[in-house]
Amino acid sequence: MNKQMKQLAIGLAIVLMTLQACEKDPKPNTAPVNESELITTVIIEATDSASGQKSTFKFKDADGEGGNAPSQFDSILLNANRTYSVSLLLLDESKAEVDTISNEVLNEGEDHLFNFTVSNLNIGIKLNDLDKNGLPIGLKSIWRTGPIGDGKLKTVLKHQPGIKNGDPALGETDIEIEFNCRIK
Amino acid sequence: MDAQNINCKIKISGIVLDSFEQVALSNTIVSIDSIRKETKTDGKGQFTLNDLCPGRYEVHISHLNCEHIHIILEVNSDTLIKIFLRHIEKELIGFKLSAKLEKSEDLNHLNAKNMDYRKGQSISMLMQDIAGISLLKTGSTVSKPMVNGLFGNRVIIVNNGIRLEGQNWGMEHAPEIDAFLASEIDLIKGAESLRYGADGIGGVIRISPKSIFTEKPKTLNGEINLIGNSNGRGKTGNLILGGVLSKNLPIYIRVQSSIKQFGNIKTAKDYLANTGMSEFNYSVNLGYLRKGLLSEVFYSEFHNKIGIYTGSQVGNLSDLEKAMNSRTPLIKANFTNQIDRPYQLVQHRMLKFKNALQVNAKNKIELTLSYQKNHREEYDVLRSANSFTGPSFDYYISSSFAELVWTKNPFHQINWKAGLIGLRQSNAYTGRFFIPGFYQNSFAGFLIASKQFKKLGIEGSVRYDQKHFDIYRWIGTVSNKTQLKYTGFAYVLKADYQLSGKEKISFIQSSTWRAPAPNELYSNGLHQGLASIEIGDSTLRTERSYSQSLSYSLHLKKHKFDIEGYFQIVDGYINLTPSNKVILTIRGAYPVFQYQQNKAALYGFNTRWKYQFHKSMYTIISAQLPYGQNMDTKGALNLMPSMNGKLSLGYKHRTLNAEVWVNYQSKQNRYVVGSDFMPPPEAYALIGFDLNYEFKAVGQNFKCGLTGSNIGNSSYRDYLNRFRYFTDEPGINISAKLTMTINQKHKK
Repeated sequence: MNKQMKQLAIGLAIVLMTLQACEKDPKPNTAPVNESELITTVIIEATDSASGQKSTFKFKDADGEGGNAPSQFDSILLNANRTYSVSLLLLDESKAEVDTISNEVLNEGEDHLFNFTVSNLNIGIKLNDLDKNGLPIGLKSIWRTGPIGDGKLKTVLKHQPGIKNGDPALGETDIEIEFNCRIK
Repeated sequence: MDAQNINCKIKISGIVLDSFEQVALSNTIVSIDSIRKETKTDGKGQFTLNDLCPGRYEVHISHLNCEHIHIILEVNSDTLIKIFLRHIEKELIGFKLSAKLEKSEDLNHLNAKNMDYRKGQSISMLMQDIAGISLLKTGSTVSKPMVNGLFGNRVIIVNNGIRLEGQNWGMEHAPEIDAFLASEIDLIKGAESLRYGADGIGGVIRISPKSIFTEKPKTLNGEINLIGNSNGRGKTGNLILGGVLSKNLPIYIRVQSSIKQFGNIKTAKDYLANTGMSEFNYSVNLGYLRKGLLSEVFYSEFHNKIGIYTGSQVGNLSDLEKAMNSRTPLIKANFTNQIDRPYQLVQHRMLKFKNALQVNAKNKIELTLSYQKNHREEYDVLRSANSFTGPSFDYYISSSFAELVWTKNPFHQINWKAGLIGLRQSNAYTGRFFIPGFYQNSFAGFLIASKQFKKLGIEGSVRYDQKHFDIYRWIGTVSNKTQLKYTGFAYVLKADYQLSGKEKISFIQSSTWRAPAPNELYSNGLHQGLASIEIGDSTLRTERSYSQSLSYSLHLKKHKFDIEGYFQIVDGYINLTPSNKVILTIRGAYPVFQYQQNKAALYGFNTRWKYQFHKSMYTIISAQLPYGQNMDTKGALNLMPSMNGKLSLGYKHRTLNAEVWVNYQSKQNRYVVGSDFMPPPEAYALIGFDLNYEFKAVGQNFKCGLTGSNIGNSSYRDYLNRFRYFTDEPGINISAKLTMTINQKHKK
């Protein structure tokens, strides 16, 4: 090694060290921001196809999983022996500007699938929308209610990127809410 | 003593070497004062003392420029000894006195040779050969050390003399250290451990690099390592180059860099999606040593990107159950080097500036300043194509540290070491909340004393800490500052007693403490991948540990046996405990885990026996039996390692070293039933081997090696792997290593 090379090596080392140490960190009192999106709210809008009467049922947990408990968790109330056309609205209300997540679900319909499970009640549910590939999504559905009773209705949204084939068991769960449900 | 006695024909001969350069020391006086025998070493450093009767002798070795040492020898027949003396100036470098002949055969120490055989593995993997150390894993790519069942904030890792200040609190956060910088690893349990902190109640793991001052003038020194792994098709390379500017200007220089890339790991049957990793590190080290003054600057950068098994990011409890009930991974994969979400991106930088001044033959002063900066980003799976693409979690921690230490080493008296330490730390995050941001200002002082009597060695240390935290939490849009202050004393006492030249017992008693960490106090959120909610408790108090251990070692010519037993009570042991609560979320009900304090007991044995049954063959049996008990509930502590052992058969001939081993891990039957999503996995046994050979070619030294792990390609799961719910452990792996040692003398 000649002398200049040695000096160069030392110089380079010193420059590297000082440069790297200068980058600034955020301050510890920086406010948290939840930039990744959340689904905080699910609104079920059921329209009686005979009377045109609309009812909405809501689940809302504005700060996401953990933290504060859900602020609203309605029971679903339906009339016996009717047909409802149902649409689902998903919102992110954790931010100042409310984001309509159901639009994204619709746009990426080929990656998403809703599934409804009814227990202790008689409600026939048929998904009534299709994605690009001709498979149902479930943002829109038709519900036919049976006789009077009390039971549960579970709504599940699966994220199935690249694997959607109509099977509701596949994929990762984005929503799983079990509503109390009454048919009167 | 009767020299005329027929048995009094015993000879003690030996060689005296400089412990630093390993050169012979001539004109060293070797004497046995009690019988007034004295001799001097010749030009080759050799000496002989003749006509000795059987018995115990205190041999005094002294050299003008070196310290004096006394060693006790029990002689029954002719004895050959090798003595290393340290030059006073070289003492600055901090070499340990190595009159003890075989440091490598220790339960708590790994030397450079052990490191050589394991080249290319992660720093945590290297540590697991130390008795009592197990690995807490997250999948196949993340592992951190656990000492007798304690981990995370309870284990201090000291890298190159500086306490590692990274994101130690997270179970899925691995130590941010380039394994190629490690030349020796110790688990320190004695008085010295308090120098690094009072909160290492599990232990202090010290990783030491090869000293920069081993570089020689007019020589380009270094090493090139190339390693290939079959599993994950891993490729690893490392280059070290070092030298000294000139004899007149004693500036020592060393640069090093390593690079690593792994693709998807394969279990016995399947590839695991997104389990690749890549790493890039470099370091620059400069040193100056002249006339009792030592200065050293060290800078290192560590960067890695770690793929997290895709199937581990479950949406909710039903997804977790589905993943657990599936025998094969739910996400199918082939081999790829590509790393997608979820992944971790970690950077760690360290700058160290150390100065030591040898004031006189007995007194030394050291001042060390360091700055560390850690940045960790975690990227989760995207929910949709328009989602925010930045990190889901983004943590920053930077730490400035100063240490002033005075050492006094008078011969034949008490050795003292006293130090003052200051730390300023800032912890921040951007984006999503998991642990709060804080400033920490800490001050500490310690005092270590040791004295060697004839057979008895005693050492003790005390440390006082004052830790001050300003913690920032946000309630809605209001920042809420909480100030916390913790103070406390810790002590360690150790006594060694040399029963004979071959047998030693030691006893350690200590009381240490740890302040609750900000995540234990304030975390509140969804735990990635485990479909559970973790809740901190702001009323947690400090943990106090009372620990005692007793160890015995017997080192004969053919047998080397070590055993240690320990019993530790931790008052206010903070652990994450399942509660009966569930929290209702948009993704269903989540179980809640809360930080709680209990009185805990940790106890057990570690043992190792090496038997040299033939001049070139040996076996090693080692076993670890750790237990953890929650004394409040009279039940087990969760997440403790189960009983494990290793049986090795080795062959060593000249520069060839071969070893075959079986590792056995029993099933953990001690856990809180109902507290886990799944019962602990079954016991397993794995077979592995090491083959190492050194040779010379084209004027350079080469080392090559072949290591096999899980060569039976068994399917198994490990209790201490947090991904045991999802996947098997890696299947067979063969790694091939080639090391070229560079030793280029330049003319001039």
